[in-house]
Amino acid sequence: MFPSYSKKTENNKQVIEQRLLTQKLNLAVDLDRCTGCGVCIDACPEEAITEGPIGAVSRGKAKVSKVDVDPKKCSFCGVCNILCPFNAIKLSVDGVEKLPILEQQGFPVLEKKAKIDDEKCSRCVLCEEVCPRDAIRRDVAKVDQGHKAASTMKYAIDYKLDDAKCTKCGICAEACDAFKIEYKEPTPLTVKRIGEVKFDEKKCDACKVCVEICPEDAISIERKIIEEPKLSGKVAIDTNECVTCTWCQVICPKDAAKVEKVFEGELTINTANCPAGCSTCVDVCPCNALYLPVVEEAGHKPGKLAYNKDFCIYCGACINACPADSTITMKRNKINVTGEKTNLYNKIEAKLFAEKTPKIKEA
Amino acid sequence: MSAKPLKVQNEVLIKNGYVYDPLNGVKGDVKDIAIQNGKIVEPSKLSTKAKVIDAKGKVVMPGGVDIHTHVAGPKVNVGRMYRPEDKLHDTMEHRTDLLRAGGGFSVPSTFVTAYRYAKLGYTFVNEAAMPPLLARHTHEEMHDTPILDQSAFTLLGNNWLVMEYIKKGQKENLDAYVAWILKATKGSAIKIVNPGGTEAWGWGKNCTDIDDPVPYFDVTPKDIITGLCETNERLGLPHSIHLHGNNLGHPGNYTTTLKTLALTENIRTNKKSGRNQNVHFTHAQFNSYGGTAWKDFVSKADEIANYVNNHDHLTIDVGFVTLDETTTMTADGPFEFTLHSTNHLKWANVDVELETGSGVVPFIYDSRNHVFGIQWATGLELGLLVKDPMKCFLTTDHPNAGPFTRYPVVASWLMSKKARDAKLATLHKWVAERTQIKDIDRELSLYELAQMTRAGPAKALGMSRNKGHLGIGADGDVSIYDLDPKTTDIGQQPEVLVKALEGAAYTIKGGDIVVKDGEVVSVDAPKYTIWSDADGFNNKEVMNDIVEKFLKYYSVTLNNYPVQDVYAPHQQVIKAGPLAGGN
Ligand code: SF4
Repeated sequence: MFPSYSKKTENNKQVIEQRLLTQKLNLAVDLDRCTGCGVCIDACPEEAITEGPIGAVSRGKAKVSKVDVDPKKCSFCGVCNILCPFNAIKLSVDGVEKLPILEQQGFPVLEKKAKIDDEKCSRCVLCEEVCPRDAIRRDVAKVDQGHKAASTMKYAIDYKLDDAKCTKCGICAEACDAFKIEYKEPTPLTVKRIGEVKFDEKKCDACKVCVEICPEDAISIERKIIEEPKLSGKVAIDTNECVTCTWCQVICPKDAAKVEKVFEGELTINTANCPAGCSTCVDVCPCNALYLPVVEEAGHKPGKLAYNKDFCIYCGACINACPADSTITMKRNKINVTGEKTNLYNKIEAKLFAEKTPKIKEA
Repeated sequence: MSAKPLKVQNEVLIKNGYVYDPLNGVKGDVKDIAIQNGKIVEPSKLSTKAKVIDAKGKVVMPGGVDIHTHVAGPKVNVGRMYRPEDKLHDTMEHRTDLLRAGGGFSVPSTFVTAYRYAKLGYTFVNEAAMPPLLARHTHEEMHDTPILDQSAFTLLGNNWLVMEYIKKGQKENLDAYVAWILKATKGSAIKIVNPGGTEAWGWGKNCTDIDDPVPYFDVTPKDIITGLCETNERLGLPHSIHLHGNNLGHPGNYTTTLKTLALTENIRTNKKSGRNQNVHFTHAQFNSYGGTAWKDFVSKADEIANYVNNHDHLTIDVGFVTLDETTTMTADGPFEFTLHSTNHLKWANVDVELETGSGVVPFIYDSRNHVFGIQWATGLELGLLVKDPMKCFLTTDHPNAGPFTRYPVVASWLMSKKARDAKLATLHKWVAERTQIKDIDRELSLYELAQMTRAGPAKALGMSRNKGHLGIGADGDVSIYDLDPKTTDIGQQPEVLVKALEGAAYTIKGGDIVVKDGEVVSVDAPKYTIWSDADGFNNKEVMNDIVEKFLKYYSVTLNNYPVQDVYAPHQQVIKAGPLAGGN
């Protein structure tokens, strides 16, 4: 009978469904994107979402969802969808992605400011390499060797042939496609080849092999760079996937990436409470901000755990996953959103601002 | 009413021998020595049933005391196990109704070790390096080393808690911990080997100077040596700290040695201990080197001997190189690796958690090579240039510089210039050029030999009440050599001396005749393990620290750590520290 509820996992998505007589409401948690950060748990006005075995799931030891949504409690408002920093929850109505709350009541949305300045960007690969969320879209043509490599530059060729010296011997044409020799075979009368050396500037990349190889020193070639060389194409940030960790901004050698964190706050680590040998937090951290420090020299005791403040986005995944007590403490103090802050939003924000630290839960 | 007569047994009367007993100032006088119930007594006390030994025309000395030798424990046994070929170089002893089979030229098996020491006239030998965690191994092997009384030094120079207490300046805690661990391991003294350097070797590094910091612990060898020396004197342990210095076996290391020796100049020796020194610097020969590399390698024994002659706070033993193929084994892990890197012979290494390390490498002291010849001369220079043999003892750091069975030959070099010159003539020409050995005419006397091998070591070990002399009340440990000092000119007939020392006419242990005419005739003499108990502390903080170390870092539990009494069935405990009434 209606309403009827269901929950199933397919295509690596946990989908809960509410069927009314005429309407079908769907909430899908993308298991690949979900990090277990728990923002949705705090955000849910109906307290319909609970936390799963985050560490085990991220290590592939449990094939369940990191968060669990109760279809009977869920009101399909879509707040979780709006506030999920990892773009992992999608609400759909009758099979179409939709957010009625935005349309009807209004609700502020996360503001992810993340951009790459095309002018400054040199199309290098660093940001793509470090991005922990695959949010960099690097659309740059693959470059091979030779002519193609030259195609990454804008240049003009200054080509000269000393006709008096040229014997039309054909060596330049043997060496390079840019040359073509049109000639007449020698006759007893002419004794030498008579003709013309044709040069196709478009095929030339000014490698100057012809200059070196010409036995008569008849060719001269100069390359004049017109514009600063740059790989062709574009590097951009996909803000749907971006979680504003700032890795790309920090590593960009050209200062081209500009990212503002969606959450701001503070994180402190109390290593004394960490039992060590666990590293769950390091494994679950979606931003590669936490790390196990290494021994740098004989006798150096590096401590059990550390994090790089630059990269932490105060998502809370480590807090949720840590099996120990009071190891890591997180406090958010700002959430960057656009749109009018409604009462509902303010209530949720207060919950998200509460200080959080792992607690050993009684069974 | 008359007192019930004491049951007397085991009575021996040694008649008319030339007695050499330096602690009692006896210099070859013809005297009778009497033993009753295992102790030396007035000859008049003996009953008519006493066994009489005619020692006329023979030398009578206290039983030999070896202050530094590697005869029991894990490192020794690694040497035995991984050198089966060492047995090929040896005339193995076969089993008899009385004796066990065994052998090994440089690292003999336990029973044979005892037989060979007894044949040399030795009755007390000290195992010089016992890793605390592996103390049971040492005690089990000592148990299978009959006849000889033994003690073992507990390695503490690279111990984590020792370094932590020194770093924090917690002297009382250090005292209590040292006392506890000596008791737990049944050790007799504080042994320090390459202080800090062996811990650094845990990271593949070393401390080559007394100011090199130990990784993480942030203390220096200097801190460790002075810290442990002060503790030793506060506890009043029978022996002083027993130190194997930093930078062993490297050209130019004599400067490190001089700095090291100066460290304890101003630390007051605890006179209750019965010794005069506050530091014993062991196998000093290996730390008396000049030059900058093996090419310009020279002896600096004169500098070291000079220092010893001018200071009273130390004793040394030499570590004479005997120019044999032998096996090196020490708790100086980095040094053994260096050795292996030079001679490319097989290398064993054992790091002991929180405590120490060790290495074993075979070594061939080839007499054709100038380095080994100079090492040989350096040792003899030390032995001859130190004026007072009560400060400088005969050892070979067995088996590091050579096996203890070579003691008689070493004695002949010390006592006969002819013997020295004969050996020198077979060595590389640089030996004569770069050392003073050819110019030293001194020949030690039998009295001085007795000082170097009996009186001196016993006194330095703080055991001179019972050991190393023949006065009334001493242990009935006597050696008699078939050598007539009136008719033998040892300087001219060194071979006679060697023969006499190699097979004692008699060795008597606790009143039992164990060797006769160079053969072991009895193995039933009482044998004791001697250790030092200073553990009268009740230091809760230290106990908590120990518990924490075991819970967190040791791979065994604390309850299983201390050596149980069954491992040392015959113990003699020397009380020190608070147990001896404090200091
Ligand atoms: S902080 Fe928590 S999650 Fe991280 S390593 Fe320590 S115990 Fe594990």
